[in-house]
Amino acid sequence: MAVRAKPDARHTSAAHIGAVTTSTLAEADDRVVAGRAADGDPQAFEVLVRRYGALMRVYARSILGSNDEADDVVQEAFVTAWQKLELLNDPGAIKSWLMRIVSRRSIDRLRRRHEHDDINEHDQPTGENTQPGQVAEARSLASAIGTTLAVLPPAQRRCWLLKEVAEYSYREIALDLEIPETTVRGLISRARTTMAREMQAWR
Amino acid sequence: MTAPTPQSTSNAATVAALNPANLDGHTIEELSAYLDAERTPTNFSIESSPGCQIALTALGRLRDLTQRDLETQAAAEPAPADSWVQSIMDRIALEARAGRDIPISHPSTTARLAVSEGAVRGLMRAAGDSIPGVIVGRCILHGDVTVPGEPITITVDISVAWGENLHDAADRARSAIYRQLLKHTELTLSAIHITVQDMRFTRPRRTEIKES
Amino acid sequence: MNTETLQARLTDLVLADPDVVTVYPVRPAALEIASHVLSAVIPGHDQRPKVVLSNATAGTTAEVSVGVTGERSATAVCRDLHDSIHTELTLAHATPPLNITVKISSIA
Repeated sequence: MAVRAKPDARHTSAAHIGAVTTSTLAEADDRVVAGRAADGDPQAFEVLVRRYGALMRVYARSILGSNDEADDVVQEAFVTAWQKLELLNDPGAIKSWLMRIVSRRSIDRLRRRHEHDDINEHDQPTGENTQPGQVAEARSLASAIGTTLAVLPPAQRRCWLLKEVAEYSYREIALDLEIPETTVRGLISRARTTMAREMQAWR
Repeated sequence: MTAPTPQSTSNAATVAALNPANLDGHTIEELSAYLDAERTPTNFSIESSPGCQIALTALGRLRDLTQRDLETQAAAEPAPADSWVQSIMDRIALEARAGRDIPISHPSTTARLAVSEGAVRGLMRAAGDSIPGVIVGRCILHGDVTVPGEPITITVDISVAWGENLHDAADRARSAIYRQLLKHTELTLSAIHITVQDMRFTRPRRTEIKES
Repeated sequence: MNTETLQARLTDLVLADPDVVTVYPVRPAALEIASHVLSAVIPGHDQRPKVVLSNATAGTTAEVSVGVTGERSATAVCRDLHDSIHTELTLAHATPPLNITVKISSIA
């Protein structure tokens, strides 16, 4: 950061009146922390990075299918988030807002990988099935679903995540992935059907 | 097997609901496509079948289950490395958020003096933070702050620690903020509204030093 | 006195005020890039944040953005800085009118 400070700079922030420790700030709810970050407090933004970084990584990994790029994508998402944060009307909605940003970044990354061809693989037969027993042994129904999701064809998985986690509309998914809306509905429908079917093995 | 919890009962019910045998002749594929068509045009056979209605609800649970699975995976991840966090923080331009220029008067007509809205927000934040148990969230200055003499309303979100008297904390925050605004700006203040947005549970600490 | 020297002098003057903590760039970061390019061409070009002067036949403009300690009223500090710069520019025979912009960008 380009500043010229005096040698005895009194802006060592720990000493000034009213300083809040990061651990204290981490106890406050999303709305307060995001509001503060939107106003320009980097300490509050760091709380958000730590609070949602892991979830965004896991999500990005699932969309991208790879680990290395997920880290980058999430970093980019946070930098974008900082720039746009003051535009967020409802700081309480920060979590879903962040998920939308990481979705957009992930899709950009997919596009750069020239994967948009793969997105049109709706003609491929569905269901690479899970390994026998994987679903049955899942610790919870939720992780059984996660297991199934992990082996869906990528196009189905991406549409599903965009719809059900990032809460995109069908139309938004279609626009972002540059495929017809009917294709999106079909991909999501097939993903759901597979999950419903695979779930029958769970006890 | 342990006693069924409400969660596990509803999991079992969800699975059972989606058993193809319970769908009155319809298939999961059909129901799924029907959901993605947003249930239009109305299919009376599906809508009048209790088995199908239960199944549609169960299919709706998949969203919740997906989200829950992601949260579980995230919780199992190691905490983000300090270096990873730091590289994000390094990329952030901290001079952002200057906001509008709030004028400061001067007898000379060629003087253009101002304090930035960002500076004033920081001031309010520090003032509110100085009250024990209070953390300041978003501060908004309502009204045209660029016009001298324009009445301005301030709204401040705060978080108060469990155990503090809410009214007391809000009042003290308001006073501290007001004092600082009076000292450092020429704003005409109509009102300062403090909203207690959050009451947080704090872990007991061995020592907490707060300068005042 | 050339512009660069006068700018440096004014910046030192501003920093000498006990209530001033930092001097910020007057322009946002994107425009700062231009000054880095300039410094590649002109060795010794001072690219640290400073009071920015521009001269025209229509007068002299000075701009600065500062962070203050908060001990004294930011309003008072801002006026004092303006007056100090005004005096210094007058002494340096800068072309009137002297349009001086001082912005307080952070307090404490």
